[in-house]
Amino acid sequence: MLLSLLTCREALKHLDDYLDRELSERDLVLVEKHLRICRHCARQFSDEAAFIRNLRSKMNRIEAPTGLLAKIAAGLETGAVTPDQEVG
Amino acid sequence: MSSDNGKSDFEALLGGIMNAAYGMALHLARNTDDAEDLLQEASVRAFTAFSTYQAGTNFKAWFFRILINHFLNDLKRRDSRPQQIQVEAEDDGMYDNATGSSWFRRKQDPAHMLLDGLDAGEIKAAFAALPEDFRVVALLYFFDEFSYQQIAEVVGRPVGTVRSRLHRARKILQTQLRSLAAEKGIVPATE
Repeated sequence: MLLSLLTCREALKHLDDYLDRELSERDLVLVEKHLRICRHCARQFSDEAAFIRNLRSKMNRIEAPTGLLAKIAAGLETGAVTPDQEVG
Repeated sequence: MSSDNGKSDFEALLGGIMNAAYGMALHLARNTDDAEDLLQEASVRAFTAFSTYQAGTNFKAWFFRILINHFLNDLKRRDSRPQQIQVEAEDDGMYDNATGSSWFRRKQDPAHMLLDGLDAGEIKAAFAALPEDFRVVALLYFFDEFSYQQIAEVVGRPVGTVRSRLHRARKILQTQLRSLAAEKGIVPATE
């Protein structure tokens, strides 16, 4: 398969999808090819990936208060649902 | 489905995602009392609609859709869509404030340098300041690590809309956090 090289602008358009693994196989090959030859874009992609990774790592997994599930379960059959709200 | 109208099945599924559901409710409602109320009300709604849930599919995505719809509907009803909310910048343990990386490592990694210098309240405030539609998408992406497709299912919007909202949310967060880091002298103002 003969693939042309992406320009920096084209590569950056794919940045989000690349980081989130949403690219097609063909586009993935094209982006990776570009990153191998363009240090500037490689740095930018790496910084963006680090930002996402580090922000996620700072967002602690929060624990629900003890007893909340039981409280919710107890209210399941007695809780009223107003008809004006969408369900599901 | 179990003989108790699915209550035990529902409880088991909810129990499996309880921490994530509470975390999302806490991010949306911004305080523990409102988060518990939100989660309780959403659970009643979800249980009422439990017959529409297809066993074996993603319960978390199904439940989050109900939770978020309930939150947004409630917000609309109150007619108070907060676009810029001041959140107390105290460290309430919602985010990890780890600072374990070395100077050298931080020097090599601008994202580490930027985020390590910001505290929990500052990151929380940056999320809270996002416009509501962006905030929900950003929370599902950063907090729950949902894929574009999963976020699209939860918020009931096309993947393209999710992609563009997420892109803008990321940019806003980066700009806000970088600007805050520059104010605190963590990163150069021009970076």
